[in-house]
Amino acid sequence: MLLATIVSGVSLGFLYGLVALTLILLVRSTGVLNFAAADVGMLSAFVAFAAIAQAGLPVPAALVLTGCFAILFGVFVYCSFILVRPGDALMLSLRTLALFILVRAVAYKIWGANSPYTFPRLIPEGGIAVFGLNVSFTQLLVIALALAVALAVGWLTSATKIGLMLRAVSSDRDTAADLGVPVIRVDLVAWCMATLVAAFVGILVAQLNYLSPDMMSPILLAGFAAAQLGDMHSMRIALIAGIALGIIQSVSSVYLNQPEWSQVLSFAVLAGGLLLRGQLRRRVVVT
Amino acid sequence: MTGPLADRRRPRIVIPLAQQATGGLLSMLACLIAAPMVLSDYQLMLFSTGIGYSVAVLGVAIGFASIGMLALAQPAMMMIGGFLALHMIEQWRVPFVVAATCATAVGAIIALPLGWLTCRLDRFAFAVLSFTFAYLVAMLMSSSLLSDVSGGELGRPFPVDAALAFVPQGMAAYVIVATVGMIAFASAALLFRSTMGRILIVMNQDDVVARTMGINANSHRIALTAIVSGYGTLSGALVGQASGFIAPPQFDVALSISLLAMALVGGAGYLFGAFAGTMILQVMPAVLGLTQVDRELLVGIILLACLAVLPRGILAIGRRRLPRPPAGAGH
Repeated sequence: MLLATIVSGVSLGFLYGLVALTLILLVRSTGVLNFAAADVGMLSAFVAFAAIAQAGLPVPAALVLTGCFAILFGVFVYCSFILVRPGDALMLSLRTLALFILVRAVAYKIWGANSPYTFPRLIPEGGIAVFGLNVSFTQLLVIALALAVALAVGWLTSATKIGLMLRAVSSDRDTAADLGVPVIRVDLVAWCMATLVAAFVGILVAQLNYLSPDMMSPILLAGFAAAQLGDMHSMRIALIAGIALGIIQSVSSVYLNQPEWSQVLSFAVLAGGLLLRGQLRRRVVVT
Repeated sequence: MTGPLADRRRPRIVIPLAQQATGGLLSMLACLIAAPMVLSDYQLMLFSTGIGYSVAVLGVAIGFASIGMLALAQPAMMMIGGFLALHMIEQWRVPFVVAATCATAVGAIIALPLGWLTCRLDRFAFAVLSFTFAYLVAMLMSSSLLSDVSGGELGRPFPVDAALAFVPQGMAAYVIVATVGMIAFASAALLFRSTMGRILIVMNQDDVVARTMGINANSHRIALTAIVSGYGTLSGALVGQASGFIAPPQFDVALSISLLAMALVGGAGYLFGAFAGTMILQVMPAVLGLTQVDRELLVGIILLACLAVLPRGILAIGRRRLPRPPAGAGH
């Protein structure tokens, strides 16, 4: 049973890690901490739900439509929240707070009356035996797809021209602009990547649990935690931290009598990790 | 006295919060006096609940205006303060003012070790940690673990102070909340006229200079965390007294964002800003009878508009930023 719980935690942890990935992508390129990172995924999941369950579109077409929506939404958010009136990183991050409130309110307004919904099953029921362990197709696919997306983002940022430009902008925005890097285009790419990954996470969360306007709250918090443990810089560490958080939550919710204690434990891990990071940074500065 | 020290004048430090304090307090007093004359009983209850929330917003504004702190744990502090005051009144029959004062002190004491642990974290790490803390407390108070304390999701009724039993109930609650709220705002004005207030302003302007001048930034951050949390716990007690009821769903994590929004919309650098922001984003939608979803939409739109057009808040309209003294002034 422990192994099954760990596998469940790993699948959940990958989702936390992907949310952390979107946060770090935007912080590194634009300096903006996107408080609405996860809820943009929730909105995209509702678009997919509306396309499949309400409009009756075939699943592949609905997923393509959702992807297009996510990209266009990223463009819209960047142009209307960030580009129209530039400001410092703190002010821009606070605008994403307004986006967080608005996205939730819009979702409640349109779909809140009959929530929660059951998202159409995209992955068949059942599972396979892996080393004597029963793993559901849903969990397997979540892990496989999340890993693929994480690797794709990592490859994009490290081995492509756009990735090089992203790293240049995150390193020194003004110098990159002086050297001819199209900073605004790079920011747009970062925002579109972030919203696309968030849409992917939203659909997977809806597959695993249920679909409602507040389904992403625990995912967002864990994503923030994983991103902070990665120092808002290392995607690799953030992904590992997300997986670790997922495993801790999953195991503790099964083996502790009260499920609330799993959240307490996650908070303790987050607090301990942040404090340790602060102490390590202090020692590096002193030496 | 002659020589270079002869012209040493006291440096002109721009302290918007302190300079606007008198006007802000008088405006607030005028509103508090006029409210019972123009509002109906129900509207007065909403207004007094708004005063309670504005004290929490004041704490958030103080933290943000002084060192850019994003205090997202205020709902947790409000819950702790509210239920602590409730139990003190029920179990020990103390007057509300005593219970509220104890709640404020407990909030500050709880925040001291938390502030010590988090004083070296950067702004966003602190925000994430405090947001997670608010989520945790909300979840625990709503759960069966602490249902004896909180009454679970349904909450508990909050008793009105027996000392004012001769006054109609709604008016009694209003008088208590308005008086304590006014004292809370006056204390904030005094804070920013004090030495600590000036140090906080200097830390906001230039942290490196503050440390170079010998200011222990970490201990002031810890003290500020305690002050902000004290306002939070006091606010919880006031909200309970004003609404006659206290329940964990009143203080969910979405309230963290709403309180910050109220502080930003009103103007975090203005004493009256916390009050104004609360009235605009909390009380006005309730008086207009908007549904919860419509209120959230309104809050989001107003917040976005303010951040884009009036980043210093609504109270900054018509106020020009006072010039910094030229380099070398006062030396």
